[in-house]
Amino acid sequence: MHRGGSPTDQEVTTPDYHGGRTRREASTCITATPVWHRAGNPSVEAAASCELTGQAGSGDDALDREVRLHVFDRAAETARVPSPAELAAALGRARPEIEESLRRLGAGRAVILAPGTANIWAANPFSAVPSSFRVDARGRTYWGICIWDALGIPAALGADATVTARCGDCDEELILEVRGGTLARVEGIVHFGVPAARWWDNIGYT
Amino acid sequence: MLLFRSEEHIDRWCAFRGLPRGGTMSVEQCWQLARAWYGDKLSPDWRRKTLDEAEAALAAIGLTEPFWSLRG
Repeated sequence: MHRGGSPTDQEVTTPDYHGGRTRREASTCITATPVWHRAGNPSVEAAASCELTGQAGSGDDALDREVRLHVFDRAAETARVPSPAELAAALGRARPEIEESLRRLGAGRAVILAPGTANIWAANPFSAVPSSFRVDARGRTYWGICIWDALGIPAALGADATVTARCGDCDEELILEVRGGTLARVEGIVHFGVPAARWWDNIGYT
Repeated sequence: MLLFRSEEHIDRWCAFRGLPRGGTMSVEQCWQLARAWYGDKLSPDWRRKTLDEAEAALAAIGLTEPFWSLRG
């Protein structure tokens, strides 16, 4: 989904997304991007999937739902994705409990976590870190981790928005505008490099 | 999932990286997909789409080629 480096613990709040054919390091970063795999713990996946598919599940469902709703509410209202510490404080829960919930939500693909951490990289369509896909809506600046998510932000908000992206090849600025639920300004064409069946093999690369 | 100025820019990007060309869609198609995919994301009743629902969302905007099959 992105053209540059991956968010590590240090990079979750530090933007480092870049691309364009004139920046040779972009391709190096892509090949060095850690792999986001689906969680390998079947019980974690099963618990997460219950809440996310609406089926009756474990007692963790209520917490996971509470965490998920708070994450997306805060992301929509503030254009910021809360950290585990912020979630713990807001929901009056212990941080380890929140981090476990986030791991379940990550396993269920409700959020994407930075590798090896419980920090949210993206609560799609909302990126936790600045990227090459800027979305101005409701007087705030949001970020998407790809063009699909960038358009997903005004779709989720039900709001007008201006999407400022850059050509993946020449880095030229491309601007899209959403007004009243329709596209009022269109530039460019969208390219998916990875076949759909393999999007989640490495969601960070996709 | 990137945006490019033109088909030529896509071809150049792929050639520069030694990657095969993937699938393309218009910005309008991407907008319709974004609406279908994320329109209810903030709803308390949101749930992850089933494979059938996800493939239906892609098919609804005309993406029916094997590249867009989520089942492989």
